[in-house]
Amino acid sequence: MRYTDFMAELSPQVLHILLSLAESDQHGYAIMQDVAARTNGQLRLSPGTLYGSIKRMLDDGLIAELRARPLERRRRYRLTALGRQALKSEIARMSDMVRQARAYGLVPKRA
Amino acid sequence: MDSYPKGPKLYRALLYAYPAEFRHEYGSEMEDAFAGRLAAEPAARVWMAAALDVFIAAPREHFAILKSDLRVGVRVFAKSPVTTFVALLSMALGIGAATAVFSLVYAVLLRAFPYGDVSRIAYVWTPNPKFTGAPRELGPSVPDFAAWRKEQRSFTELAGFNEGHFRVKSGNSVSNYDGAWVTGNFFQTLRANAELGRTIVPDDDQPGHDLVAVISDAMWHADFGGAPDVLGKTIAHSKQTFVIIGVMPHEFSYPHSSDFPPTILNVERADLWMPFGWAEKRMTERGENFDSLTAFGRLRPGVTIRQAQAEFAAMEARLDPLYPELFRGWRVFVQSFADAAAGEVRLLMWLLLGAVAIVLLIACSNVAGLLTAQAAARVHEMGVRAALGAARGRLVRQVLTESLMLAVAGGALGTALAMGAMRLVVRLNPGNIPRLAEISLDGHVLAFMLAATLLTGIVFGLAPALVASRVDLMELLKSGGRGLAGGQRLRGSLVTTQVALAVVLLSSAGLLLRSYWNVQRVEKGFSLSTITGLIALDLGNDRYATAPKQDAFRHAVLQRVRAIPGVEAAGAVTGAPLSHSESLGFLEVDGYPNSKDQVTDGRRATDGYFEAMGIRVLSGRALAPADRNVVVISKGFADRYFAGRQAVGGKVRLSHNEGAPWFTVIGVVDDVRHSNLEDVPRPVVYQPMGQGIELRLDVAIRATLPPGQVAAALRQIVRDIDPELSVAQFLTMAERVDEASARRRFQAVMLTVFAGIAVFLPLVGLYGLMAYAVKQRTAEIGIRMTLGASRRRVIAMVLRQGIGWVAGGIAVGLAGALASARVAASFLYGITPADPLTFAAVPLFLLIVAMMASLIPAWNAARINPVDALRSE
Repeated sequence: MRYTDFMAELSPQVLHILLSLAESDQHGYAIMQDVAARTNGQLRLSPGTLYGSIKRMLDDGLIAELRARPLERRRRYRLTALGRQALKSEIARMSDMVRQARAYGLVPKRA
Repeated sequence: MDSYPKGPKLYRALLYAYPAEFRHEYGSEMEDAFAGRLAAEPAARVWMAAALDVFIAAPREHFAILKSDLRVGVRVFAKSPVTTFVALLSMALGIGAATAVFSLVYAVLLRAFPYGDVSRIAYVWTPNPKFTGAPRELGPSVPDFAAWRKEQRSFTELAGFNEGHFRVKSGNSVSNYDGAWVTGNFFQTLRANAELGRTIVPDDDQPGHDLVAVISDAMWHADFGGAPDVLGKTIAHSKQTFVIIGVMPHEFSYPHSSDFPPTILNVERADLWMPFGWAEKRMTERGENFDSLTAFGRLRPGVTIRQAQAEFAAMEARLDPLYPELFRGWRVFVQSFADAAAGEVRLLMWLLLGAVAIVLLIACSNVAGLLTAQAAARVHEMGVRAALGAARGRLVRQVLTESLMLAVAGGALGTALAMGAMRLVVRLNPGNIPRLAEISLDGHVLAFMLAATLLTGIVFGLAPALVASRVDLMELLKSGGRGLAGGQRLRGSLVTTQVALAVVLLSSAGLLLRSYWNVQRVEKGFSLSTITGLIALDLGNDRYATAPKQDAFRHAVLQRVRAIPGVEAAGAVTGAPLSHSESLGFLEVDGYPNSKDQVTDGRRATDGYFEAMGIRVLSGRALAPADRNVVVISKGFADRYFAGRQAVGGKVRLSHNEGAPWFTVIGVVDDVRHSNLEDVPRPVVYQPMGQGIELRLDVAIRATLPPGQVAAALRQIVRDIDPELSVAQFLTMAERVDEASARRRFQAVMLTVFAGIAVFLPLVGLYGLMAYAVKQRTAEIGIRMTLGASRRRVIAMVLRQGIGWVAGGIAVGLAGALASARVAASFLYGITPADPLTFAAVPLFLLIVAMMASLIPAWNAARINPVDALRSE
């Protein structure tokens, strides 16, 4: 599957995993904690959902698995160029939407 | 965060809901993650979330695999369209045939009757061994029934009915309805309630009470337009007026012929029910003439058929001596409702089920063979996947998914086929298989189809799945990844199995066809082109109640029929051949050592009858118009009672009374298959008609006109003479023969169709296997040819291999066929179960067609270019 095929349909889980990995390479459990922290506990990824998403993102080439170092139990993941591009265009699409929404006065002013 | 708490065991168990592949990949990390959350958050919430997670994520992972397997499957099938087509066809034929037969068996044997718990309903018959040829299902006399009802303990209620043929006047219209005279507890015993008004109750069944009637939903709509004010209206039958008290629901039409063995009842469906209202005298007098009825009851809880049989047999033993001496000998036969309804055809249903099971087995093993070939060809693909780390289970799952895809597609096609087949089955309806016309694709049948589909998908998928997944990487590397001969032996034995099964079916079909043919060819004794029609004179009024009145009517009809241009002969008889009407009478033959209660079949006929029916006069003469006190006898009668002496001129007496007159035999006619086509005709005495009252008149006409024209003319004549009379059962004798052999035709056609499928499928399998084997042996054949083997020898070599597979199957199949023919011996006519013709023709035929299927691959083998073959190595 190519990136353009799912351009319009990044799920919240995928988006948050991409965002998490944009900062640094992480392993699954750390992604889970990071997402929970960043959403103030609103989005808690359960293991099945998390690794299911990771598996599909690996298949789609959005992220890559870092070969585990000897003695390390967990695999770490890194954003690929394709993943970074997908994240960027999704964020661009969203900020475009936010800009339009602001024109209609739908976005709350900064407190 | 650097310590990794281990997840609890329960969570690890939950992980088994995920596909193995996923679990192996991520299981331990998921456990870690779960343990991490468990340490940080409230346990209840984490467990809830985990359960929900498994519930959503696990199916998603399975579905993802299924999706990819399906994609691979479609690709695999598209790559070999011929194999796919043949496999689909096999599945569709197998599942289609099985579904059609199951729907038939379900309708005939398994579907519930609308009479409450029918397993508790039983009939009580009174067979009398003295009446040779009479069925066991002989209804008891009214006095016996009345006596039983007083003392029996086996049934909670014992009810009875008699078929009735009503000519009903309602308003200005007159119509004919079949129905029943019933006892007061008839409806209660059947647990049947009226749709409108009420049913007949015991109080209605008293002499002198108001005459009441219950009508069917169909009659309500036909005669009263379905109007709700029908209750209280009256109908007239034989000059009596009946008040309508109730309307039965649409599905109630008991009693009807198809709930009974053939010829027991002559009611297509019941539309009208009236209470008997017996007077006391009828319930006690046991003379030479007595009324009988069909008795049935609902067994008391815990009472078995056998116990009821014992009780009634004991009662009947006490009642039997109450009859005049010559009329004794009654026994009792208690029969379950289901046995009465399906007893005779149950064996046929088992035969069909057995046959279709064989077809399904063949179809399965055929598809298994095809998929095994495909799997063997995919060893390379599987090897690569295995080398990349796919577990064996994963490969099995892939192949099983593919076979299930095939099964589901085949099942869908098969259902379409079954629907078509069921329409054909209904058209083939021999008329005496109960409820055959009611077969349909309902929920039960669909459930069966689905189960059959899934089961076959798994069964035929397992073999190839195991072949495909048993990849030996070393072996694969050594063979250069070309694919392995693996599975050829399996496929060979699958072909052998299929051929063996096909032999069983083909022989059975052959035996049934031969039997059918024998029945068709049997000497019937009458002409097939004769046209018959039935005039019922049982009007319940006095119009035809005396012999002179009947004579006048009969003469008028026959005279006018004979006057029609193109009519060559016409006559009448009481009960045309194959019309299910028999009558027995006492017999004494002058100069013969008569036994005391000797009986014979008797018929009364007019002049012209033998000529019209095409019955040959062998000696003496036929009946003439003025004949009285004479008889014509059948050849069988002459052979038995006048053996070694002159029959014509002999004397017989058709009564056990000392004072009865003797009749002179004036002629001997050929034997006629009266009751059915298969039994040797029994001796018959023909008396001249006109010496008594007849309830029915069967007119026989021999004409050069088309039957339709004759029928129209006869109808018109009868209507002119008496508008209240009508003619029924207009049939040529050929049609009666057709009807009488319909069951055999049905069996033979069904089995032949199955046998056709059963032969076709293994041949396809054989062809595929041969083509594959030749391809595998290309190099070997090339070497042989280089070394000087001629084309003929190559062809012979290949054929030998093919014939080897087939011959083994034929040998095993013949043994099976002989065994199954012995089991099904009751279906055969005029041949032994080991019929030499069938058992010689079947193997020969299979060898020839197998040879033909092998010829093309053999021919291809012979055209192999040795140089090319060796180069490609």
